Amino acid sequence: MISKALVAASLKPFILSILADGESYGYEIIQRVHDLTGGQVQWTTGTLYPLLHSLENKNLLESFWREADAGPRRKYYRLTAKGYKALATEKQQWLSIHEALLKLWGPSPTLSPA
Amino acid sequence: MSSFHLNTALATWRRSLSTNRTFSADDLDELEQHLRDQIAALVQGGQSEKAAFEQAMAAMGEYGAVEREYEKVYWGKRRRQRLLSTELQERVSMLGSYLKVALRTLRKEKGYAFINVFGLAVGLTCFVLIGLFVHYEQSYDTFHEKADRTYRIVNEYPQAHSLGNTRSTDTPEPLADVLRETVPEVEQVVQLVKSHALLSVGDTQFYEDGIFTTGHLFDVFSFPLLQGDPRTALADPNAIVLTASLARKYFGDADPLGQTIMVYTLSSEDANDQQEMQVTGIVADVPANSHLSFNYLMPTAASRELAGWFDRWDSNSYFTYVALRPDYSLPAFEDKLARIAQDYLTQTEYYQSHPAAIGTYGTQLLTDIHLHSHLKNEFAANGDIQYVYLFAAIALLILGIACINYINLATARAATRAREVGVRKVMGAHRWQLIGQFMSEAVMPSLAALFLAMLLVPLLLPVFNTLTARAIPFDLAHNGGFLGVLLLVGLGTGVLAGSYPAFVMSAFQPAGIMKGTPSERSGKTWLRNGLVVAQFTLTMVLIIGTLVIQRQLHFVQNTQTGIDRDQIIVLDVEDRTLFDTRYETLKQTLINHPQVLAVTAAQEDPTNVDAASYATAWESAEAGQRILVNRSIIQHGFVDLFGLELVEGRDFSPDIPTDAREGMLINETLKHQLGWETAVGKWFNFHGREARITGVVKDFNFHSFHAPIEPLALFLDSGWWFPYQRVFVKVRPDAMTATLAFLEETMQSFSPSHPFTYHFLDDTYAQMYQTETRLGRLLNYFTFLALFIACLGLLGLAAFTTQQRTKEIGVRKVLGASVSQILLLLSRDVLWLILLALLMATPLAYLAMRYWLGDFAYHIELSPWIFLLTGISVLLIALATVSYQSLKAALADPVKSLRYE
Repeated sequence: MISKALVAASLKPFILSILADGESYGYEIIQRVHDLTGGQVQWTTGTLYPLLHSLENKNLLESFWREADAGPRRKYYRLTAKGYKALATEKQQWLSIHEALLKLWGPSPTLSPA
Repeated sequence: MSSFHLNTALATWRRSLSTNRTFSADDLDELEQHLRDQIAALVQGGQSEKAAFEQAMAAMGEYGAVEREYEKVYWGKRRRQRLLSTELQERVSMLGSYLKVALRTLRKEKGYAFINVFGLAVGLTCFVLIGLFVHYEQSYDTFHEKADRTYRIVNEYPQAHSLGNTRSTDTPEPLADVLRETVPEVEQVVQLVKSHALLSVGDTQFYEDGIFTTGHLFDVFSFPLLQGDPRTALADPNAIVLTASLARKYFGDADPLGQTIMVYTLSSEDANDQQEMQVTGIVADVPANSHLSFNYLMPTAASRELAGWFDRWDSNSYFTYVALRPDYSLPAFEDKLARIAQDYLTQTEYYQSHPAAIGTYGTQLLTDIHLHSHLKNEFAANGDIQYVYLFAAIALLILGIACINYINLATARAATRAREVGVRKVMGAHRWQLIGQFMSEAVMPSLAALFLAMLLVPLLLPVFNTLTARAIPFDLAHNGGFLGVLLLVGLGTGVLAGSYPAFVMSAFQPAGIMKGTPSERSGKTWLRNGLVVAQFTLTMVLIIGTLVIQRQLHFVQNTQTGIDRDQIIVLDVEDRTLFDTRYETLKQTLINHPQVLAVTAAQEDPTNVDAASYATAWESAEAGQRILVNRSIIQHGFVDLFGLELVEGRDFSPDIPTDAREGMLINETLKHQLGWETAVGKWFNFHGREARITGVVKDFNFHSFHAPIEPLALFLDSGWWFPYQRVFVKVRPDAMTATLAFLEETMQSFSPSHPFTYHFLDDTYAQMYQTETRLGRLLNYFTFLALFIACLGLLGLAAFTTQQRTKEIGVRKVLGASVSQILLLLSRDVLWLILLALLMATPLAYLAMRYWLGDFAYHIELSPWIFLLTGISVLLIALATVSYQSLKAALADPVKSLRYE
């Protein structure tokens, strides 16, 4: 399992990146993260939704209810222009940390115990 | 299995969250759908509904954590939602509450509410009235369609013994044709001459004012013809065009067109020669805001007075107006005008012999005439831009004083409500709700004041019009911008007044306030005191200005002008045959009456001598020297009747026949300018007579006090036709009615075909200072109002500070302070403020009044007494205002004030 702190930190880039692929709703987002990480990252429902709402408050996302032809009514989220900008910043930050760590760890993909 | 129902379980879960304010229905819908999706997936994976539900609930997070997470975003959500309609709705519903509380506060403090609303309303009313006046003054002649390209030609010519050129409205007749024919910029030219004539139809006869002009008038100006053809109306020498109201006066409802009207112009060669004129047109009444005014128009050709003076460049008798083409260039046009002056004047015989007299022509924009023109021989007395500025300044001063009051009182009152702010905050009021509350309490009375002012203005406008001698209309439709400004001022004052309590007090920490009222005496008082000082400075400047103007007017009207003006009745003689043969008989008849003391006659009132001409030859004159000399033709007895003092020589005498032919009285100024040690017996060629100086009179003011005394020559008539236009009768002051009846009867018997008209010399003299008198009277009113408003504010403020110190006064009394000590304590603050204000007002007022007095050639000195007097009286008034409150507080039983709470 990945540490709680790291999970918490990755919430925002995950949400922004997933929504950059297209609009989606909460349950689907959790499922995608679960699938993408092979179950390594588990979000609680109670953290996802408030975060979605807070991102919406900051105008990174916008939400709308969609009535499906077959199936229940769901609240969808999508990125705003500001959201796309935030994603770019987020990406850059993660990549720079990622690159720095890679440089430290050398070309070998396997970690040797210090 | 059967005991678990998913829907029931979800409903229970939902109910447990729905009581929490952080979960909106929308949030719950979203969460519930999530649970349903998750449970459906788990059930599909083979789990029971119950197990799936429990797992989904577990995935929600720890107990209580969800609520905490939602709580974190709750405020953000609220803020976002408020941007939408929710906020609007809340605000609207709060507005009702604000108003209700504001009304309650006002009702609770009726006195303050009254002072606030009334003071501001008076201030706004003054502001509106003066604003209308300023606007009206600037609207003169703007109704002409071509106003922006119509100019009056100004004649500028050099004059001896005066600096610079004389600028006059008088221009020669041939100028019009030259302009029309040779200057491409000119669209049309019109010339006109003032006319004054006796118009009669049957028994209806009145003296009327009109103008002689040509049909071009209608091309240059927008004076619409209601009946008749502008092209032909003034073509016939026997045509007359009447204004609509004059036509009604003479012809009632009958069609005036084609009717005949008898016109007797004063200059007719034959006294009984009336001209029979035919009405050819009806022109709309001239608007009041026109510098030109007339009741009738006659063709220039009809004027016998002008007949001999056509086509002469050396006779300047006409007003000339040009409408230029829309694409004109003013400098180019002025160049051409200057060239015309050079080309034509140098060809004229008179100017060839007097080349120094050649002047030039300039221009003056039509719409500038009323406020900016001070030429010689204006069509009528103009307004003055200085007074417009002055009044605009006064309007702003009064508005400023009223607004300061309002702000001071509102902030002072609001400060007592610090505790209320604390309670409201504790009860959960938002800061913006407090801001809304204080704002509406400040803005509501200011809007009420505005409303009151709008009611007062139409009521007071007629009075104001009488005072200013204007006909200012109150027409909201045409003053829309003005109304906007007013609304802005009203709202602005309210907002300004409300902003201290709204923004400063709403930020108070409730805990701090609730522990004790923050001391009002320390913090913001300097601001309020500063505003009071500003207020009284402004008021004192106004008072000093008023005093100086009044004293100057008093000086002008009561100082020895060297001429006796009292109890002198002036009879206007329009019948020129009177002086041919009957004057001596008339004089004897009048003088025989017991009430009549003396009788004489002259060309003009000696208080306003208008005629002047050049003298070029006199004893010991140098070649080419010339002096402009004012002249009046007088009759025997003139010097005695007006109490003139002879410093040299003697008065004219009926017993010395040569006096009529060659006698001349001059004033001291002329004697000095001629450079003579003694004058009597020296020869002086003037106005077509070779005179020998008979005597020298002491200088007297025969013009207004604005101008220094000029050279003057007085002489008897020797065949100059129609020289006398006035008979002066000095009478005893009592039984004036009987005397006037006698004068009328006598005049009627001597010239029965003329209406009896007269005036008192001191009245006409006073009229010369009408502008100043009017200004003085207006200033009186406005100054009084300013002082009143300022005191009103002081009263409110005093009541407030006294109330704030109720307990202090109680304690002081208990400890043995006397009433007078407490009075002193409470009045001391005001004393300092007023002294400070006097200190600031003195230099301001001094500079302003020195500037105003500079306009008078003869004026009073600014004595320190005026300033001192102002300071003392304002101080007394202010102390009296304050002492009412102070006395009340000082006399109050300390038991009551200390028991309070």
